[in-house]
Amino acid sequence: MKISSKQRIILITLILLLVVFVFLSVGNGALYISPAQVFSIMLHKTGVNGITAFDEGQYNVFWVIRFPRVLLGLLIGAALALSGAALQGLFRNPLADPGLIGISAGASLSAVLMIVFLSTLSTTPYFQYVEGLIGYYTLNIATFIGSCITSLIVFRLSRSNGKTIVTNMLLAGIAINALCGALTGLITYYATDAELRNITFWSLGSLGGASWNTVLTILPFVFTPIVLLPRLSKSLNTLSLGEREASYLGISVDRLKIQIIVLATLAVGSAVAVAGIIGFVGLVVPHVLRMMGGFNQRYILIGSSLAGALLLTGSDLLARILVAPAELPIGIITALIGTPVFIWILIKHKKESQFI
Amino acid sequence: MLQATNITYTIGSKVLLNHVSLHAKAGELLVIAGPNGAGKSTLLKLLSEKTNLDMGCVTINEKDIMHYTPKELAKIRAVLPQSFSANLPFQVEEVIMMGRYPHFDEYPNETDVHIVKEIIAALEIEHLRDRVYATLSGGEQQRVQLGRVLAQIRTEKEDVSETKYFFLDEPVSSLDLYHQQIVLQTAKYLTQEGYCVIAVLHDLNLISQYADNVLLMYQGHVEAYGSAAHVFTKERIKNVYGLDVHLIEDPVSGQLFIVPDTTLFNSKTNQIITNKPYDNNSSIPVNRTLESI
Repeated sequence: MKISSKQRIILITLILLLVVFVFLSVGNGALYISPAQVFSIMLHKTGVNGITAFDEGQYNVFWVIRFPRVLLGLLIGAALALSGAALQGLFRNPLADPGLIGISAGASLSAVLMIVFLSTLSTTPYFQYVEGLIGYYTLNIATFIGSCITSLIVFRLSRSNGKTIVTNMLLAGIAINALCGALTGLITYYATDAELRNITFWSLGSLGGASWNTVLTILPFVFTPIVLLPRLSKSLNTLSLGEREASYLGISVDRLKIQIIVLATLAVGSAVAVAGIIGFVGLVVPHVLRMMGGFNQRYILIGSSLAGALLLTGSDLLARILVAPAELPIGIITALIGTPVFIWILIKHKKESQFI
Repeated sequence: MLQATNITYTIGSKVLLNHVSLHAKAGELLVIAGPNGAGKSTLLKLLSEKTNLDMGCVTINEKDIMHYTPKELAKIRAVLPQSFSANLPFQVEEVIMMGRYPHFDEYPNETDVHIVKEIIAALEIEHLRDRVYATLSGGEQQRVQLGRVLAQIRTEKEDVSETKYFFLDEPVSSLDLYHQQIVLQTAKYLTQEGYCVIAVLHDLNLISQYADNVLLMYQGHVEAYGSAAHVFTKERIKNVYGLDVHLIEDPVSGQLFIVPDTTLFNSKTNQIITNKPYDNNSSIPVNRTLESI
């Protein structure tokens, strides 16, 4: 299915907005850097000097803090929205969301486990050895593994006779979510006040942990789905006819399911691992795009990457400037911006939305 | 040629198909008939998609169906399902283009566009081309779906090397008299073009009007196989459907008509109602329940 001219306009607008917001976001915060200075700093790195003056502080803030943080926001926003779009297409269910197949629940459980038992664990020699290897990223790696394990369990439970049954998968997702929720609650019960605060902030999400290391670590996990998922758009479009009709048209439906679930888990698992739970992006962004431009999956998948990146960059900018020099958890902002926008579009496009 | 040899298929301990054999060649319209639960749709499914059989095999163009890739299969056979999604958010032209998906990678080429245009014209749905599928009426949706599956196996140049197959599962069950004829005329036209059409049909009169061959199924096995005149005898219909019929030959066309014996039929219905087989545990008479529905 070709991208229509209306859809193309939306995609181009998203790209332009994204560029504007990247410049705004790297420039604003506790220390102001003008767009011209941003440009000069970037040129300076490539060896061209002296277009607009900037000082050492601005240079360091830009390269060490702001730029990796903005890049991280782009990657995570794209990962969350893209996975949401792909899962909604796969389940043919508008409420599908990365949380539904257990990714977020598993991440939460392992993160809470790490936060509460880290101090106890740190005394064992084996753990000290592991921590020596991965150091600061212990929490991130644990959450990534946790999210992969739960989504693998959900996936295994939904298999029957070598086929993946979508209804079973949703039910298994609900069961695993409930179980992880209960265990998370149980561990939280034993947490100290300081640990509770950590848990709360983790579960609201933040890009505060951004560094070049985190960006480069999640880059392959997010970039692979961004490139590969839109290539599945033709199959996803066909799937809207029904699983059986899609298989008559030569689509290996089961292989498609596995590909999408693996790619979505990679993207969301790594995003949650570095930024905590950032809700709403995966659910709302694909919907907004559908209401604005139609249901072609190629447009939805590409558009979701762009719009998710845009939403998170914008939200992170607000999170940093609203209560500067402190910052708000980004999950609060995405929900605060996302909900009214979503409701507005819902009212405006009531008629079209009945076909979702 | 499509050939099924001795296929037996069970689910759990229930034997759905028992030693079924058939063959259908290019230019033939084969109809699978039989009462509800006889195994017609199961048979159509086994002929059109890869399934692990308990016994026997299905070959399409002299090659075992299990040796085809899904994509190869998609290029030589299309299936019109009994029921389909009613709320596709795509335009009619896009839905029909989906039928061409096995033939191109990213974007359709000229042939694909041309074939879709041709089919839209042939099915007289030009006025629906830009409408959203979900807003169409049931009959219009059925025609669009027919267009989609036609697009799947249509070739621009007449390709005689490989026979293409068209499977229809009760294609006229929800259509009016005129559109029933349109669908079956289309099927007949395809056979004249060298396609092989295999359809499940219930209406014995439509079957005797259109079918080249009839495979009459009963309780999972083949009860009779051959021309409509050969298969539909009074005794056999009584045996399979449990119904007395008159056979009448139309003096104009020479076509065989099968008319249920209504006098006997009425007494039978009365018997069913007085026996209340659907309503064993309730004291409300069935005919009153039916009225309240």
